[in-house]
Amino acid sequence: MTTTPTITLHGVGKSFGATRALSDVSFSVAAGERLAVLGENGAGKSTLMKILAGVHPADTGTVRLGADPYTPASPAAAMAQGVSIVYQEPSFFEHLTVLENIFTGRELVDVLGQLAWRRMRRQATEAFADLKLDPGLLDRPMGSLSLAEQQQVLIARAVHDRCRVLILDEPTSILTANEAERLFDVVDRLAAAGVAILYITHRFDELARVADRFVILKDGVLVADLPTPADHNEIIRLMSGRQIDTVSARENTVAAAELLTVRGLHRPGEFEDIDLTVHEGEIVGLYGLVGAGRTELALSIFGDNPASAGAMTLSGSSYRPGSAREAIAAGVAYLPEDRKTQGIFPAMSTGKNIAAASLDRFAGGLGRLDRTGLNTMVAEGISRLRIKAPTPDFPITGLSGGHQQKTLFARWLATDPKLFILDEPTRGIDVGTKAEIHSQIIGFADQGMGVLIISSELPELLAVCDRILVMRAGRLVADLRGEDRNEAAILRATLGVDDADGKEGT
Amino acid sequence: MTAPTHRPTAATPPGAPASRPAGRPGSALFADRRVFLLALIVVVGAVMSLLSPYFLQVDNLLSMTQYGAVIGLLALGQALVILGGGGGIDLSIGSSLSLSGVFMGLLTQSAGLSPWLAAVLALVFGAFLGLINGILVGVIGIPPLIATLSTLYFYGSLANVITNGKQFGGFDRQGFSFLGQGAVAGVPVQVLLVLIPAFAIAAWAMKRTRSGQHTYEVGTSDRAAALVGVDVRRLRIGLYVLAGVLAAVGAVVTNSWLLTARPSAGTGFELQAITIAVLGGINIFGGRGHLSGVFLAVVLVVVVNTGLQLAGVGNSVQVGILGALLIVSVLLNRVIGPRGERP
Repeated sequence: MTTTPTITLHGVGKSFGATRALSDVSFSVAAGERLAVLGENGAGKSTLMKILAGVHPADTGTVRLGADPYTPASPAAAMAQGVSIVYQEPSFFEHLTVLENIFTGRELVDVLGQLAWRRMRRQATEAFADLKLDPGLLDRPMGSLSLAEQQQVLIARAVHDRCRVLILDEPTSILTANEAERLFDVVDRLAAAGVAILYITHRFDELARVADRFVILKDGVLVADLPTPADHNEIIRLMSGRQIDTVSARENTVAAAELLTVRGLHRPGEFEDIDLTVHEGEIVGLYGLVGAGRTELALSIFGDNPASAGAMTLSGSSYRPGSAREAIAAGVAYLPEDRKTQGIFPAMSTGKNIAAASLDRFAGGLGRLDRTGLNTMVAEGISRLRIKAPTPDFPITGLSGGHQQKTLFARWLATDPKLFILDEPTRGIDVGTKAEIHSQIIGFADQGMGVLIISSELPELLAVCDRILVMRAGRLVADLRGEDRNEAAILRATLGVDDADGKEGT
Repeated sequence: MTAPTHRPTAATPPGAPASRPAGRPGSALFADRRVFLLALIVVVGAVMSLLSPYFLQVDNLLSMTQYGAVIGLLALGQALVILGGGGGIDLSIGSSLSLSGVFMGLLTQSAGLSPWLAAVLALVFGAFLGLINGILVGVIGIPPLIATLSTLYFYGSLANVITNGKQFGGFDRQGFSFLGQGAVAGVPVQVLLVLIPAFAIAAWAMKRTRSGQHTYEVGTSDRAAALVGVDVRRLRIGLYVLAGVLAAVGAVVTNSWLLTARPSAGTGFELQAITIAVLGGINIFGGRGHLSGVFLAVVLVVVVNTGLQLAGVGNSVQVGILGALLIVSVLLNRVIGPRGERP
């Protein structure tokens, strides 16, 4: 180790539009040091990593690599200077071999410009030997490898030459315990060889095993920089403690009738043994880390992703939708997670986008549509949600993101749903429209609609929900209401930290 | 053509609509493919009538449209399949026409059936051929290009095997030739009573019915369509069935017109049908375009081909000109009109 840290951040900040993703972040990592980066969804971890990996430039502050300024113009430039990243959802060419994947974009050539396969194979074999990986993998198609093997190959690719800083983005979220242990060995070996490691994780249980030190990001600000091991309750306290606007928080104490009940819902690999209830006029939040199975569960309730076992009732009668169409007919609506690819019909008008889920109601003989009825319905939707479309014929892609989202709300309200499932209802939406959407949601519940909201933004759920459910690794692990419905309790359930002694959950 | 999308800028204040899609003043009218095609028809017609004084005579104009009826029906089927998106395309419709025609000939000549009854059965048979395509694509999940390429060869080969190199007749009974050779008020029957009604019904259905709306939705985003309750698979299968039926209608018209069923009757028509559909403004990726544009494209292609024929330009050159027309119209449309076609 040297006295100059391998990488030093000073006052780094970054904004996307009006959203401040990072402000004034400063820390350093020495050669051979392993630093864990903690923080909940949206705390700024990904933005930080992308700045280091050359995906985004920082708006403010400086980064130094050793003693030199470090401002990579692209991921390739970052890699050439020795900073590599392995993403949580790795991208690679599944039909090409491992060897080809390792050298994509930086193939070695001989004097005639021919690919120097022998030289590449020798280098790759050496890299594999350093990491104690099986060189037999080199000739297999990348797609035929297990997730753990793919990840190790990508690490080998990342470190294969002159790597000084290695960033790992939640590497163990897809791994089994044994695979994770192998990964930790690889990380240890790299650290021992002098590589500075930045390790993003949500798992407190591996913190002491994999890191010498950790930092916590909250709302884009660095709130702690501490050595491991640390008390888990202390970490939770540091991660939460945000000022929540509790004025708008709802407390629905009136005992209402059960609207949706779910018992023992199961779908292999996605979620298991889910029991939940949504009452009429109740707003229920569903929180969890990305990949916890929330969207899969929601789609299952919406009939698009039918469960393999379990039972549901809606308004007291048996409810087992085999398709979205059946769910809509039963009075269930679903606002999808990704507005662009799952929500809007980009080439169509605002009016047609609103009408899309209600055509059955307006179709007569031969499927002929009642245009007068449709036009009236569309006009109502536009005025109810105050969508800024000059006419119903205005193309939806001409609207801002917030108004596109409101158009989708209008689409589903037109079906007059009993249960409205919202998957990330305000993702990527400006602050003003966001508040408007929140008050609309509360209005739905006041009219007796049951609402189930999936959101990765805890403040959003705390502001609008009566009750918050937490999912972890495909299971519902908490149902928090009243006094328990607070940030620390939610984070504890989300991350699997035991309340009693502050040690890791079992 | 690719419609430019109009993304709102990040700076758009909340609540304010993004600026109207940009466009040069006065370009909106020409940006509509149909206006553009109409203008092109007038221009090409004028040039043709200068090249050949015979061009504008009534009997020539009518015989021109006879040729257009069959290819128009195929272009309509093709347009519907393409509009349904998901890479939808039907390369087999030429062969479907040949095979349906031969099937009908088998019924009239070998089984001695009434040509009218045989025609009805041929339509059912065409629907079956379309259903096979639909199942290959929608249920088994073979890419449309591959699935219909294989049925192009399969149906075509079957038509040859059935006829064994010969051709079928037996159509000239019970006034059946009226369909392909007759005229009402000087307009050929296959245009007045087949092509125009087919386009009119289809255009009405696309604009005014639930299925039409669903087709545009599925063509634009199949995931979004599935989440508003559209059965994407069934809809796409239905479109292939329709294309098969329309090919069979084309076969019936051909048999009535030529009074023989030949196994090569539809050879090469599939590519012409695609050309006309795209020329008519149907977005090759689905979800965008109007059937009225396809109708105008049929008219344009018929005018060009007939005019060139009268001017003594050979068939091989005609095909080249059709290709040039396609690329020029797409390019001009893109240069003139930045606005995308919208249903």
